This record gives sequence, C-alpha cells and structure tokens, in this order.
Amino acid sequence: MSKINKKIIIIGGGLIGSSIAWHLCKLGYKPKIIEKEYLLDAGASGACEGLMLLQSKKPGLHLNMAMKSIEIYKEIEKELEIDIEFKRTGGIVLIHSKREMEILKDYVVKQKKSGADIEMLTSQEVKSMVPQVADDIQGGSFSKSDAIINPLTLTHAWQEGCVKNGIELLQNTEVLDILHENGKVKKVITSKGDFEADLVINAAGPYGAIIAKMVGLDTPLKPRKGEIMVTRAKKNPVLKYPLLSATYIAAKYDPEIAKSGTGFAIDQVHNGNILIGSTREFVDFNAESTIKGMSTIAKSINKTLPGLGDFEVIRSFAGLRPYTPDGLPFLGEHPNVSGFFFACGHEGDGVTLAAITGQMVADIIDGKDVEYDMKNFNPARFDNEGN
Amino acid sequence: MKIKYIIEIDNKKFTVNKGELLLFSLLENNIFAQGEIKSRKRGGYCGMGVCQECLVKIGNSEKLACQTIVEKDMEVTTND
Amino acid sequence: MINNFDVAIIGAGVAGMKAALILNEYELDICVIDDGNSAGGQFVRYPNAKPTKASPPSYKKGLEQVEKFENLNITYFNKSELIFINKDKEIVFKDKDKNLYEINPKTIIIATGAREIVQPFKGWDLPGVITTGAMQILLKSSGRTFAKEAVIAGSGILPYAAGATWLDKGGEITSFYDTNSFADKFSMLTSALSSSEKRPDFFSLLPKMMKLQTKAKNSYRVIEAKGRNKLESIIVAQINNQGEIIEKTKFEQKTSLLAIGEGLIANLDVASLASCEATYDKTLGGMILKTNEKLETTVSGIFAAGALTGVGGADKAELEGEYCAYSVLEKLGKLDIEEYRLHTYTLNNKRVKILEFSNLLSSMQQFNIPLLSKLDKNTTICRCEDIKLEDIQNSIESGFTSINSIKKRTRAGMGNCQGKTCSEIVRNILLSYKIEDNNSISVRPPLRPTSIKCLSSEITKIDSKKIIWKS
Repeated sequence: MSKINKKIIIIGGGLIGSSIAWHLCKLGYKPKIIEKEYLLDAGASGACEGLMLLQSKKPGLHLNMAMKSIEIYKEIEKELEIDIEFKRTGGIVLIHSKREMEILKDYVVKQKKSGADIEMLTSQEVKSMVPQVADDIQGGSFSKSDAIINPLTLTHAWQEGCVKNGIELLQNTEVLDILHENGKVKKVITSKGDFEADLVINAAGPYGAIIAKMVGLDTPLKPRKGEIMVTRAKKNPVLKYPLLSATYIAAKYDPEIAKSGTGFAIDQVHNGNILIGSTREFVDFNAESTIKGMSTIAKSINKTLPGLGDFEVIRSFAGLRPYTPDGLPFLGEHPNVSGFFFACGHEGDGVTLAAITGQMVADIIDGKDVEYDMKNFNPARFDNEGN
Repeated sequence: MKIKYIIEIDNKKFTVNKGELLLFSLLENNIFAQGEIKSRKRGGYCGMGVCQECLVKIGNSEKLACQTIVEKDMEVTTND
Repeated sequence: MINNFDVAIIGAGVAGMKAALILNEYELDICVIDDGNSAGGQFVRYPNAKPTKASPPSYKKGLEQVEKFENLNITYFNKSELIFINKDKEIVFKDKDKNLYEINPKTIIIATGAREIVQPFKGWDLPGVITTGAMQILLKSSGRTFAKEAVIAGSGILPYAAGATWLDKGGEITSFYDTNSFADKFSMLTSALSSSEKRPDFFSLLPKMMKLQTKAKNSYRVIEAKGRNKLESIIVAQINNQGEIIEKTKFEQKTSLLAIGEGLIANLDVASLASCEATYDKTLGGMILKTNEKLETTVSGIFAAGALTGVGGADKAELEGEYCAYSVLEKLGKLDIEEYRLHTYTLNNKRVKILEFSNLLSSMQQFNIPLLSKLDKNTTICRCEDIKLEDIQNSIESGFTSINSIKKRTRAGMGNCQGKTCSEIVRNILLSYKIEDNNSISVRPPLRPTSIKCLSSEITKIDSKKIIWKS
C-alpha cells in the first residue's frame, strides 16, 4: 500500500497528535486529525507552562528522550512558520532542605551519567541568579540545556504545517466508537461521519482510556488536574531562568517529602507574564481552578521566593494531565488490537516530549528502527496487573 | 482651607490636596502611569478600577491610582 | 460548626443598599461586600462631598440612603473584593487589609453594577482620552477640575451628566459632539419627563444641559484622536448608517482632554464565575443574566439586581434591590407566596415602565457596526495587550469566530483587565462579519488581581452569629 493510501486517523489534535501528523506528513503520509474541540490546544496542550526542564526527567530513558526532543525543537524552529518562542534559557532547581539536598546530589550524579550537563549550585550562587529567593535556600542545581517554549503557538504551528500539506483536520468532531473485527481496527465512528481506518492513533491525552475502551482495552490512564496562576505581564525581565522546586523531584523518592506538597514550577514567558504551577489532583475530568489550588501554590511560592510576594495574579487556569502508573507514556501498537496505536500518557512531559514522540511514532509507522526500546512504552505492560 | 500634602512621584515632589485621588494628582500634573503597556504610557481611562491602566507602584505594592487616595509622604513610581 | 449567613449582598450600590435596608427589617444574618471606599456604588460617589447645584435629586436621595445603610448593624465589608465564588455559594474575598475570608451564605444577591463601553477609534488609547465616568469620579473626588478645558463626546445621557458636573466645577467645555440626533435626544427627554421618578433629575440637570447644548454638534462622532505621546487634537465627522463620512462634515479640533461616554454594560464576572447563565439582549444593553420572574438567576438561590438584568439607571437598580430582597425572603421561608406577591405587585408594574426607558437608552447607544469595519487597521482593540484591529480581523478570517477562541489566538482579553474593556468590542467586530457570539468571555479566579502574598495567607471562615464588622 502506498503511503498516501494508508488510512491513518489520529484521535486528538493537541501537541502529541499535531506533532505525529506533522512528522508523518514529512514522510509522505496523509493522516486525518480528529479533534473534539474547535481549538487544538483546548485540552492539556493549552494548559501548560511551556517548560522543558531536563532536570525533572528521570535519569535514563526519560532523560535521554527529553534531551533528544529539545534538540528536535531547535532543528525544526525555522521550518515551522510560526514563532514557537523556543528559548534555551537554562533552568534552576531550588533546594529547600538538607534532606532534599541529599536526594538531589545523588540524582544529579545519575543525570550526568545519562549525559545531561547539570551542576550543583551553592546557596550564594542561587541568590545571585535568583534575587527573589528566600535567605534560607540550601542551594540548587543548574542546567544550561533547560528550555522554554510556547505550547499554544507550537500546536498551532504544527497544525498550520499539516493543513498546508493537505492534511484533513476535523474540528468539533467527537469520536463515538471504533469498529474493530477479528482483532483489527476497521472504522472510526464520529459525530460528523464514519471513516475507514487502517491505523488509528490514540493521541487523546487524558481521554486516552476512554478511546482505548472503544476497542475493548482497559488502560490505567487517568486525568490528573494541574492548576496554574498567571501574574501581570512585566516589561522587564524579573526571572532570568525558569525555576523548579526540588520538592517536585524529591517527592518521588521520599514519601515524607511527598506529604509536604508537590513543589512548584515557575517561569516568565515571552509576553512578560509569570506563570506559576502546579497542583496534582485526581478529580475525574473537572478542570476548574479552585481557591485551594491557588492557595497551595501561592503558599509554596511565597515561602521560597518571597521577593515575588507583591506580584499580582490576574488569572488562573487548569488542565488535565494524562497520568500513567510509571510515569512513561503508552507508545506503540497494542498486541491485542492490530492497527490501534497508542500515543498518550505523557503526564507532565507532554510539551517536552511532543517532538520526539512525533518523530518516533512516524518512524515506527514507516517501518524504521527507533533508538529506544519500545518495551518500556508497551501499552499492554500493565495488562495483567488487575487494574 | 484644604489640607495639603507633599508626595513624591518618580523622585519629584508634588503638592496635592488631602482626600483626592492619586489619579487626579497625576492628570493634573500631566504624568502618565505605565499601566504595564508595552508600547507607551497610558495614564487613566475608566477611572473606576476596571481598565488597569493607571497602575503605579507605591512602595513595593502595585496599586491603581484611581482607587488610591493620596497620603502624606507617599512614594509613587509610574514606570517599572 | 460555622453558622452561615442567610444572605450575602455583593455590591453596596443603589441596588445592594436597598436590598440590605429591606432585609434588615426581618432580622436576617446579612453580609454585604463592596469594593468602594464607601457605599453608594458608581452613582453616589464620595458621599463626604456635599451635594451641589448640579447634583440631581436622585443623588441627594442616594446620599441619604448611604447614611441609612452605614448606620445598619450588619456585617459590611467595604474596600473588599471578591476573589472567588462558585455555584455552591462559597465566596472568598479580601478585605481592605488584604486578609482573606470565606463565607457560604444560603442566598446571594449580586448587584455588581455596570461599567462604560466605548466604540474605539484610532488613537482612543492616547493619554488624555478618558471616559465620562472617569471625569465624573475625578471631579466628585476633588471638587475641582484637573484641566482648564475639555471636549465631551458620546451618546445617551452620560456626556450630559459629565458635562454638567464639569461646568459646575468651573471648567470650560470647548465643544460637545453628540452622536445622537436632535430627534433622538428629544424622545429621550420626553420619555424621562413622563416618568415621575426621572422627572426631578432631568429638571435639575436642564439648565446645565441647555448650556451644554449651546456647544453641541448633533449627529457627530469622534473618528480619530491624534497626538505624539498624548492627545493633541481630535477629528470629528458625521457618519451615515453605512459607516461612511458624510461629505464636508469632517474637521479637526485641538484639545488635550476628551471625555467620551457611549453607554454602559453589566459587570457579569462575579455571576459568571458562580455559573449563572447569561444571554444577549440588544434592547437591554447587551449581555445580561438570565433571570426568572423572581429575579432569580439560573443558579438556585442567587438573585440579581440592577444593571445585571438590564442597563437602566438608578431607579431600576433600587426597585430591583427591593424586589430581590423579597425574593430572598420568600426563598428563606420568611414570606409565603401570597405575601410575596403582595409586596412585589406594584414593583412589577413600575419595572415594566422603567424597562421602556432602558430600551430607549440602549437604542441610542448601539455601535455603528459598518463604521467598525472601516476603522484604521492599526486601531487598538485590546488596550491591555496592544492587540490591533488587524490582528482580530485576521484571526476571524482564519476561522476563529468566537470571543474566547479569538482570545486564545490573539491574546485579546488575556491582559490585566481580563477582557472587561475589549470583549464587547470583539463581539461587535464579529457582528461586522455577521457572526453572532452570545457567550461571555470566560472568567477565572481570582476575580480581581491579587498578590501572591495575599493568596498564600490563611482564609478565615466567618461565623455569622459571632462577629459584626464595621469598616
């Protein structure tokens, strides 16, 4: 079958779906994107801060993919005709306690072994790089490869690129069912018509499990709400680097630290606003901002960065991250349903990994070899665990 | 007989009347607040706290001049 | 066990004060939250200033009302702003010292009033161009003018009110450009004079209005404001219904201060965040809340009074404040349905008459849609983010055909004012493409800009039985 004739349907037009479509297009395929909202960044893609911090990625596979993905953004920046505001600002992890320092020192050693260029910072150094930080900051870590990007314009850029190449984009179209026969996908039933499919790519983010259920699969993918606050735009640079609280990393290794909260991530975007996140809550599909969420984030920022205390928040928003039990996405064809390809479950790493995911998925579909062991992303890897 | 105060706006001293709005004092002296607008200074527009264009800094806090009554020795910065 | 208030009243303007005064007679636990320095809303500002010759009788009445209200023994937070509200009636607000409080009343009356809306023209964002409301507020707060002369422009009654006050304080008015024709104004005047409520106000304003009229050019619009860094001159002309300049009517006028007032729109943000549904009604000023015959919104137990149900002036606000008070009493079981009907019967009839005036006023304050599409492409639409007409038009032409999608695409509405100044303008720009978007711009907390320090502070739950605050 020629590439053009292969009927590929991508469910979900966000960062992941758009990236996959764009990369497939480059290889000569003509997939169809089906998006249930009008705006492609209506879901998780439009509710993130745009941070691509290598430092928060687990050493090993996760970190390696993130590094590669950031390089891809650098390469495709000019190709995409819309400014994606990619900036290699470097990033700092702020360490609050001696226990966090222990965990981070160990973590950074492992990250360096994976090839990341990260160095520890003394508290003096942190204070000179982040003048707003509290006096009792223990120290930090710095990576000059950490970057930021605009997720809204990025999604839009991929979308424009696809549409220019004749890719059909169906907006305001909801997938109602996926017909499959003898363990193979056949047709996608939508609110705007039925479409035959040789390959269905599930890039539905937090709705991934709902889509997977249509072909009889139970997937442990859940929506996890994150809230973000936005301050007034400042003309002058206030924060030179995006900042991540070490609590975010340390919480994964020490349950005591996890109890104290999820930490924060903060950066000043292109327009001058400061974005501050985030919470982590399982609340089904309700993506509303809450006073509790804002209060939690504000408390942790005010404690660590008291110099920002007088900055005024003008609005908040929330989004749903696609959570998986081991923090790695589901990528690849499911062994039980031929033609049903997963590409969801990136949790908080969607924007960082969108580029590499698009490239990988396109390569796999094209029959090329990929450098990562796909066993790690096997959508069936939890299937016998009685989820 | 109106009570007068001296306040500082952008390091210059001005005489204002007790009880008046800071925005009044700014407009009277032809001073326009920054209002965080990228291209140029704006000054006041709606007078009722909606448009946010008369945003100034008083000490460390951001305040709307149209919602602020002048006080003795106030230190106002209109560009940040 | 925290005791909840029976009713929370958001806004201590004319409507809110009236509701509080009525409800207080029934010994309820009432909490009033208002963002002004003192009660009275935008209509009665700075009650410490004595009424003058130019003050209409309703203003004097308003001052008396403020005094009565401030002598009530109820929980009243002034200089306080709502940060958060939801449909479960959980309200979080900050007081004048930036302390955070939470209440969860059984019922709510939202009376958050209105704000001005102006049809943009090139250069309307130059320093020196203000609204007539701003002019009034500045004059009332200081009792004097802040410039020697001014030009007044606009439609409806706002320019007259501001102009009268400016003249009263000794200012000069170089010119008055009134978009309305003499015929329109005459019908407005006759309608007002036929209302026993409005007559006294109009009579008191008449001398100043006549003086203003001597400087007036009817059916004229400001089409451009010019100046390097601030206003230096304006260009005015007569515009026909197709948005075209009528030949030989265009000319330039030097001025450094322009006060423009074209109408009001309701402040729906608190109600929107509480999930009250809104609807678009051109005859009542645009976006208003959906309410039933009890003035209850689509959220049970939340009532709305004043501009939120239709822009129509102080007498409408006062009537509806009273109306909502009875509706709350009926909801709480303090009045049975018969008593309720008795109290609201005459109010209903009066309301119908008042709505007629509202309709007339709204018809005089419509955007000239054809003119909007002929504007210079570089006209600022979103003042906060400096988004130009061209950006909005390009995104509409690319398929973004709703206020909220245009917001996401262009950033119009994402700035400091969160769309309060531009969202209605964007709605009208969509109309120039024959696209109707009858949705409100999306509202998210915090309802007002709030510092991180404040958001990080402890939220105190108020027990209605325990404390009475007096600000």
